[in-house]
Amino acid sequence: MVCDKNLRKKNIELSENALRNSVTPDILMIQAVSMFETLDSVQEVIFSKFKEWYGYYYPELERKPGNFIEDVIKDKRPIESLGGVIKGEHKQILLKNARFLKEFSEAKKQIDGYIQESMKKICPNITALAGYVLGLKIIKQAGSLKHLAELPASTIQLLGAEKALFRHLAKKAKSPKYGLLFNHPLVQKAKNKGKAAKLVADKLAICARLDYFKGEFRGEDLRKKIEQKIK
Amino acid sequence: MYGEKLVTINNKEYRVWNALDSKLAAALKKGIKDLFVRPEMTCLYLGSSTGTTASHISDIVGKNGCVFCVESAPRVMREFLFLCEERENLVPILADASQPELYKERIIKVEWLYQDVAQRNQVDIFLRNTVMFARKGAYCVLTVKARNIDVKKEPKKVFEEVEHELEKHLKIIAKTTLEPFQKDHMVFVMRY
Repeated sequence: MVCDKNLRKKNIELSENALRNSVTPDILMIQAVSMFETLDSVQEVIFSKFKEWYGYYYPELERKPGNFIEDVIKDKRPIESLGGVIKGEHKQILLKNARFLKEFSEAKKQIDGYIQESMKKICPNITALAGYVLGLKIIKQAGSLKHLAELPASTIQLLGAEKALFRHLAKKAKSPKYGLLFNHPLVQKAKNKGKAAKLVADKLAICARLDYFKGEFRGEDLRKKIEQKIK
Repeated sequence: MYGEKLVTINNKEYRVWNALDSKLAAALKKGIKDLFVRPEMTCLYLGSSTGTTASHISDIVGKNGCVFCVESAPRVMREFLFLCEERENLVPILADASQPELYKERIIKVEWLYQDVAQRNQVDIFLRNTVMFARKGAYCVLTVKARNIDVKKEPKKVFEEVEHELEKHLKIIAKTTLEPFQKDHMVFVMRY
């Protein structure tokens, strides 16, 4: 049977609108943090390449205190430097590349600032309890803030430990006690890390729901409660 | 369309249906003789993702057929909507297949139904959609992933239970596992 053109048109419209409405701030933040992590890992590689390159011009600079890239751009190489004689286009390209690296670092900082600010605004409770980096990692692992708000605390406790969990379920391996939450400062400090992770996951589930449904701010209180219990 | 090979035989162009990309192609390779999807049929595809397999169904039913495609993830629906621009017999539905009540006005009764969703309650989802949208006598194809349903149980046992559940409502025509193309998968071809 041939497709009813009107029915198809209506379905396309509905799907397109639903698609547009599916873009929420938490999705944008997940993308930003994913970009941040990539920039972070790339930065190390390109900075070490640049230092290697620059070392032929002014090797002493790397050992000096201060901001390396800033100093490269200032370009105050003493004549007695051990570097080679580099002039003209050979020097120009080095300095141009340095300016790119500076902008690269700035872009990274901007993303970091953006994530921090948006997390405070959109997920104040999660940020107060777990910090914006860990908080966002957990949202990313869950898929979205909505999904995180729907998860039980026991699942949140093990987010990021899926592999170990399935190993436990399928074979007779030990069950994991924490996933991403291992990086939480309160869990790190605690003697009984499993129990601490459970407590944090418990409160984090409350925080996620508060944030998703735009409830009151209780993140700080909940954090204190965990601190007391761990003591 | 997604980087598959094109072959020309007698001046007609054919697209290679890769068994590694598509579970239906894998089922055919594993000896399923007929999927019972024919030109001019109206179809329902649950879990169409970016539309790799859906594009082949779209080719089979032709311009006088129609394929309703339900997908719940917005990210892949985005790709699928681009595909719909090229193929006029595809109908996109961004909705959760586990809640057929929410999109029942957007679909007409179908003659062929295929489901490939990775959900724990995928058999339940399949049956509810079948009851709601399949015509009597419609052909239904279901791919089951054992590890979605229960990681603890032996896949064989899971398949047995699924088969038992399906038999209550449909007549099973053929079934096959998908080794070596997919691990712990079973395809059922049925008639409603």
